[in-house]
Amino acid sequence: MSTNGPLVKTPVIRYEPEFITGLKNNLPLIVALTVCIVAFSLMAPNFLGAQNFTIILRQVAILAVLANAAAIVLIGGGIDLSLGSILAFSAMTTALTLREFGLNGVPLAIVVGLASGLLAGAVNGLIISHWGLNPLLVTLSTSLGVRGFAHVVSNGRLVSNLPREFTNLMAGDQLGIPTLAVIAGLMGMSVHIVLSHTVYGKAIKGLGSDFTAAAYCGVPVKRYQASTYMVAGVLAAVAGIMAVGRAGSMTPYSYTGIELEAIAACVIGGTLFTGGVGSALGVLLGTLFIGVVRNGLIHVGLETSLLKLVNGSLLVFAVIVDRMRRGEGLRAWLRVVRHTLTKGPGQTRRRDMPSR
Amino acid sequence: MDISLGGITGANVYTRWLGRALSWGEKYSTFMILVTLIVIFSLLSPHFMTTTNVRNIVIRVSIMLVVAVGMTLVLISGGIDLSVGSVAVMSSMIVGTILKDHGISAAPIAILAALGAGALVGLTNGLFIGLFGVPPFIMTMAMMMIARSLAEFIQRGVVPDVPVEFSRFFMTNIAGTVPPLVVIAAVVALAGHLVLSYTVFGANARGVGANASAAKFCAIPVLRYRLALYITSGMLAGLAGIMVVGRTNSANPGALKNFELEVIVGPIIGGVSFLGGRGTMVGTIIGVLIIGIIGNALNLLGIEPYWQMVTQGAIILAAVFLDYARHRKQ
Amino acid sequence: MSNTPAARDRQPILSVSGISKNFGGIQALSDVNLTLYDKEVLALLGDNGAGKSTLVKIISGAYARDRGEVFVEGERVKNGSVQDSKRAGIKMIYQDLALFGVLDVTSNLFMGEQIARWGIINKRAMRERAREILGVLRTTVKSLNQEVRTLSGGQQHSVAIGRGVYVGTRAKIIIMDEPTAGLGIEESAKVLELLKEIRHQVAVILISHNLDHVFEVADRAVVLRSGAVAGEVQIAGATASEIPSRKNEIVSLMLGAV
Repeated sequence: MSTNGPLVKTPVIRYEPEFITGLKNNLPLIVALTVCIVAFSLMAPNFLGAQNFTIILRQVAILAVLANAAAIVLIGGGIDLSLGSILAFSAMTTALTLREFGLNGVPLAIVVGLASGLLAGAVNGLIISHWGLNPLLVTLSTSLGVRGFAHVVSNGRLVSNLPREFTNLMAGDQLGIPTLAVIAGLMGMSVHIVLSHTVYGKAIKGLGSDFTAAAYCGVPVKRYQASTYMVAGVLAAVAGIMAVGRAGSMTPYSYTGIELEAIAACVIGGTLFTGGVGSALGVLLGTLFIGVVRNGLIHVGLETSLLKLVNGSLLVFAVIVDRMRRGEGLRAWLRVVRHTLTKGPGQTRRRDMPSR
Repeated sequence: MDISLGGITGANVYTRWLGRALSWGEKYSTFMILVTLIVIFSLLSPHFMTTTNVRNIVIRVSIMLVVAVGMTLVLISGGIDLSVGSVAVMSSMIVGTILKDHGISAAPIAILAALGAGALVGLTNGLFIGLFGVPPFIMTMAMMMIARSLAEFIQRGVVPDVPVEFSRFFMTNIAGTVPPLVVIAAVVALAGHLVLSYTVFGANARGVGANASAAKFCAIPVLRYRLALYITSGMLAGLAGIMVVGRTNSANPGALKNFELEVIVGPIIGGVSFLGGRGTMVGTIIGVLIIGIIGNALNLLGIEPYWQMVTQGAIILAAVFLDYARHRKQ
Repeated sequence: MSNTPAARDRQPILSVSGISKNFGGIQALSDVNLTLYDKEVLALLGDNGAGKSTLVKIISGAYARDRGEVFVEGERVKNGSVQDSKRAGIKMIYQDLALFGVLDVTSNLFMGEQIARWGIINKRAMRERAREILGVLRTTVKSLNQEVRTLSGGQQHSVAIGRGVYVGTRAKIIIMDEPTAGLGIEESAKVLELLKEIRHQVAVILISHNLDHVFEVADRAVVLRSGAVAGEVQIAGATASEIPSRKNEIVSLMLGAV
């Protein structure tokens, strides 16, 4: 039997490279980012330029790494509110080791820091996956506990006298780009590779979208769920090490509330806490957006106390935009709003699909 | 082969008795925990049961209780309000600043402004959550950041010169024993209990928490209920802020960090489930008492503040676990 | 019994005419007419996507109709409002029962329609009434304080039906959406028993995929296909030998076989 050509005419199904899809999904954000940059450049003369740009990169690098940590947990269907505390704790142990052993102790200090983050993340992961407790409240409680430990190991005091070579390296540049940004970029790249190109990454996305379905497909869900918190802990430790290097010292009070900013960056970048959806690119754009807006507003003269207000509003805005995006645009959403107002309680799920 | 069941029958009777005793204990478990803690702490520290200390505990608990009442209602209706700590701080800044700038005669205005600000925050929360569909956790978390930011914007540092008459009003004992602060909290708690357990509003709010879509089918105006509940929570947080100024006679924008955690843990220990539908105000009162007593005892026993944080974390974890264990066995 | 020619000449309790509904390009219903008589059980049948669910949701006010009218005892019912439909006497029992799992039987029965004066609930009266309702439905529960989610399927159905028929505004028409779906033999039997009990009080529209159940309780069947009425089949009064042919008639109406 001759076998010229396919036996059945295969239908033409279009295929779009993932990169293009990623860009398309984040298009509104890219537009918003560009608009902000243009607006701020017009409003403040110093805004546009290589110097300010490097400042922005330096400012957001730590947040970027933490946002990647938050993203992994979010995509896996959970949430981690203890990241700031893990950052502080790891930073503390790193700083203490550095002070103890000096320049020779740098590799040891890094290991100690990463191990601290891994340990803290493991506590989160094990409690959440083994007993199925609510991640919100569990990580809230560990955030207190871990930060308490940060205080305990440091006796509540500032740790300084760190090897200058280390801090110079961290605070300096590599070929014109701040070291911090380079590290953040490497972390982001790794996360992206894991999420998009490994079996593990796909499994995490599956586990985040539908826990039981993933379990039925043979994904070791409890183990993987715990692992997301552990990876997040390690990434938070990386951020902690960066923080130590950047500041040259560390207190246990630092970086409170940064996990909220990290979550905001993720949500702005398209990750949502129902899980399963998210990309490293989105996280990067979200972080940049927060960084640009913050930097720009300072240039424009906004009071620093109002920055948190801006962050909070951005978070809400991002959630609404995301819901609108999922609900197929402004019109459908407005319809829901109008319906709820005029007709009182009605179904707010999508009415444009017949149920049977 | 005939196996004698005599011994096993005896064991059955015993386990049945034990089971019944355990379930009786479980019904009153929270109260038992409270009593046990009081006994333990009295034994551990001689200062625990003194009048001064009891007064301290009661005052500390009063402020928490006021907010916890609102939080209970919100939790039972299936929501959560993380902004209460920041709203309380914002409200205390409003009160402190108005009193400092305009003297004690402006007290009524200050109080109204603070309550109004709390109500406004609650309204915003309710609108975005009920109308725009933003998840309560995210919305109130964002509002927490916003309110804290506003508090700092009003005044960067501590407001020191609040007229003394203000705190005197709140703290001078009525009939020689009870500070008005405590009376306020008692009244709020009583009102909350009556509303939750005896009114149509309370029963319907419970329904919203148990099954929001079914509540809609029962013609309950869910949006209106959510608005009312979040506005109540916001106003009670505002009230708490006023009470804080009343107690300390100053306003500090950095105060009450982690307050929302304590105010959530109290009700959860007391039986409120953050999934919605379940819980009572009485349970909340006991839970808040437990939290207050533990906090007080930790201070009394001289436990370093760092370890206190760790303990706090452990307590919250225990509360979550308790809630899980309690509601899982069905 | 309620479908003798003499009974037919009575005023229908529910009259639906010219109902059309379009969901963004999909015509779910086109010009559907339906009449329901008092104390009658009408089975609404049709394959998936035929429009049964949409039709009843329009009748109950959960969906708004594009065109057409709904009349209860001759009075027009406002469009698209569950509250107005309820006030007109139309109540719906959903497939998932819409119960409040963590709450007790009394709370479930009276949710949204508590016995109260000036906003204050009369718990004792509610409990007594709850016992009455369970008695009428011949259902027993271990304790009124039990969480509804711990009850068996049949007991839960009793609560849902009790709420629909015996609580609040007097129901004239009850719509039941797949009440026996997913239930075992004993529980289905219980649900059908409940149905036979309430039909003495109200008119019932029943959606079901189970023809045996339909033939056990219904008086007649209306078949929908692709959003329009395909035909009507008389059920009550059919002799045992006539039943198979009626069933076949229903199936061919559903599938559109010539």
